[in-house]
Amino acid sequence: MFDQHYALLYLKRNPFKAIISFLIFFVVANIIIVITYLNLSTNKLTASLYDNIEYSISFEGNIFDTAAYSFDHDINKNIKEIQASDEELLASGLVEKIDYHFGVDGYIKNFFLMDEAYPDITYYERALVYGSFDDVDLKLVEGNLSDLENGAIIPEGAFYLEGDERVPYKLGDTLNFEAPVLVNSYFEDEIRETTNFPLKVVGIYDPLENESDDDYRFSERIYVANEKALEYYDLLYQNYQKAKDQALASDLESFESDAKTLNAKFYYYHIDAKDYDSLVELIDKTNSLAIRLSYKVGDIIRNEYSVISSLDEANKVKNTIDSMQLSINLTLVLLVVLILAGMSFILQLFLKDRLLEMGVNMSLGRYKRSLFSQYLLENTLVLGIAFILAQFSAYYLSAFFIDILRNASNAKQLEILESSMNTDVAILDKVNALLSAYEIDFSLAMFGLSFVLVFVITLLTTSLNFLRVRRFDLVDILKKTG
Amino acid sequence: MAILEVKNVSYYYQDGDQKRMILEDVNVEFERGHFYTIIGESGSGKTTFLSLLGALDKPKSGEILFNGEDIYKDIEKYRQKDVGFVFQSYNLIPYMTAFENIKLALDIAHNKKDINVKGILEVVGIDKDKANRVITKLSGGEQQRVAIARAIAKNPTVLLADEPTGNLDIDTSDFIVKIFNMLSHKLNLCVIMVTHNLEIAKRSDIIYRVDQRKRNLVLSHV
Repeated sequence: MFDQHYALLYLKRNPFKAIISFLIFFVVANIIIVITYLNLSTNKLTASLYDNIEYSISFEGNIFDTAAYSFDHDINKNIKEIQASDEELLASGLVEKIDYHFGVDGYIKNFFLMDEAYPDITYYERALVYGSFDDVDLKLVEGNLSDLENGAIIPEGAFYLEGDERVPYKLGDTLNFEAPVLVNSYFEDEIRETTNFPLKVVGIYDPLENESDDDYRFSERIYVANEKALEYYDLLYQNYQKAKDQALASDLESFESDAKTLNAKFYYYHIDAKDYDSLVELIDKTNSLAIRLSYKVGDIIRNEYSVISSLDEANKVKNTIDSMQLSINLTLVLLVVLILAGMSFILQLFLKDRLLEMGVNMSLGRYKRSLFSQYLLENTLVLGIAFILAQFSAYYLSAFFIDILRNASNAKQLEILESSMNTDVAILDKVNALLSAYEIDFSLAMFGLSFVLVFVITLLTTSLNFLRVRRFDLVDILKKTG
Repeated sequence: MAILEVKNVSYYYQDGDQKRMILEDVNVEFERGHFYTIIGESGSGKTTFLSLLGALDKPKSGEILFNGEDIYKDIEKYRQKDVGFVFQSYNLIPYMTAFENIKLALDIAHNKKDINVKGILEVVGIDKDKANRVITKLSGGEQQRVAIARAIAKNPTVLLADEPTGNLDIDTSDFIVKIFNMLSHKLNLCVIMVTHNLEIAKRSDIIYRVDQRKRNLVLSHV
């Protein structure tokens, strides 16, 4: 085969054209590799962000039980709080056995925990309680859950907000109020923080009979409707190391009966969103939007309820990623089209310049495939050098662009994270993981793939141009005059 | 015996819906050892006829036989080995040297024989120094000599030349005609040259004239 000899001869004798071709291939290879890197990087970013969403959205509650919460801390600041039914606790492996007896303050449940859990938690168990605040009188109305589910209106006056505003609410309504959070008076230092509480009417307030001033906090119960909650109790343990108290009746007989009822209705939901669709699906299942609760209640319970994201926020993140990916992918497609058109045009100019050469070759009896092979070889030689060099330059170019992307999206991500949480090591890890998603991993597969892509473009453009040339009249090419 | 037979060949250009007939039912034979010239007015179709003989174009009807075989049967082989073509505008590859242009023709013809390319170039008056120059560094006359050398290097049976002296001075033209005479009479080639120069044509063995009215070749002089 003498094709390669003449391919080399052409490149040697036409250095200017060879350099122009080299520059074209070099730029093309750079663009393709950089875009591929960016695409891979944003894919990693997407995965990482969904991990983050999983965490952010992992607490969903439309019940607010601060009082019970603080109560547990009052008994033992180091206890591991567990929110679960007895069956769940037993199933979790944390609790070895549970027995019941009456104590001074009411019904006491003793938990005998496994070694890895905290020992001997004394747990005051009441009905699922709804907290009151010193400065806010917030109660839901006595009533019947099924009535509410059937659209019954909570009577005016039944719901009191700060400012003495009285509004009738019905199941599913949402409201917001700003309130100073007083965790409880048992702490040595009272912690107050003004927090915006978006709330949703989720159930019925059911005050117990004979409530006294001392235990008013525990004598209220809210029944909420969520049949799905129990399905996720295992996830609850995974994501919340601390616990919350569980509803309990005032005597054993009614406890056993209420426990079943409450367990079925108890609302405490974890969303494990691996991607956007599952996120939406799970949020739909909860029958309510997530609410945001942000606490700073001492060291022990800090962040206990802190990371809660709404669907809106998830949407924001998703839209940001989607638009980023869409724009990158569109850019990729556009670039490939432009590259094809540009290369085709320039190679056509070069080929046009070589029409005479083609005509002479053909008049001497050279096969078209031999000519094509020579041109392809020329382009491939230049392409090969350009591509190898482009690997280096594209790497640094990618790092540069990714750095820009990182800075742009970091701000957004941190804004989202900071808006929904306090400082937390675990979350910082998430943030760091997010940032590391931008690291470029050199992939041999990607190298091969991008080379194939560039080669295919070369092959296509050379072929397209050659096909056009094929239609030319040989006699015309040789500039014959009759 | 005829080496090249033109049988009932017609050729026309398609001009929109209309056909512009150039050659109509041409029948002519060419033999080895003769130097033919084809003369005719500009646009008469003499170059078209030569293109058909060189298989650069195809007749609309009729056939052209080389050694009794249709030249379009294996067009590349015919162009590679059997026919050499000399163009008025030389048609050499500009970035190659004189030597490389000839070597290219031999490579395409897969000619493995040890051919003395520089010797052939010397025969047509191109010395070793000029043989290694790129084509653009040679004069028109020198380029035409290289073109002739390229055409004959592969030892064809038929040599076609389209106005090879058209752009050249008298001395060079004279030299080229001498070469064609030598090729036909001493090397037994069939040389067919298109020219509009009657003086040059007279130095050939047989002259055909393209009759524009009849759209055919007419034997003009033997």
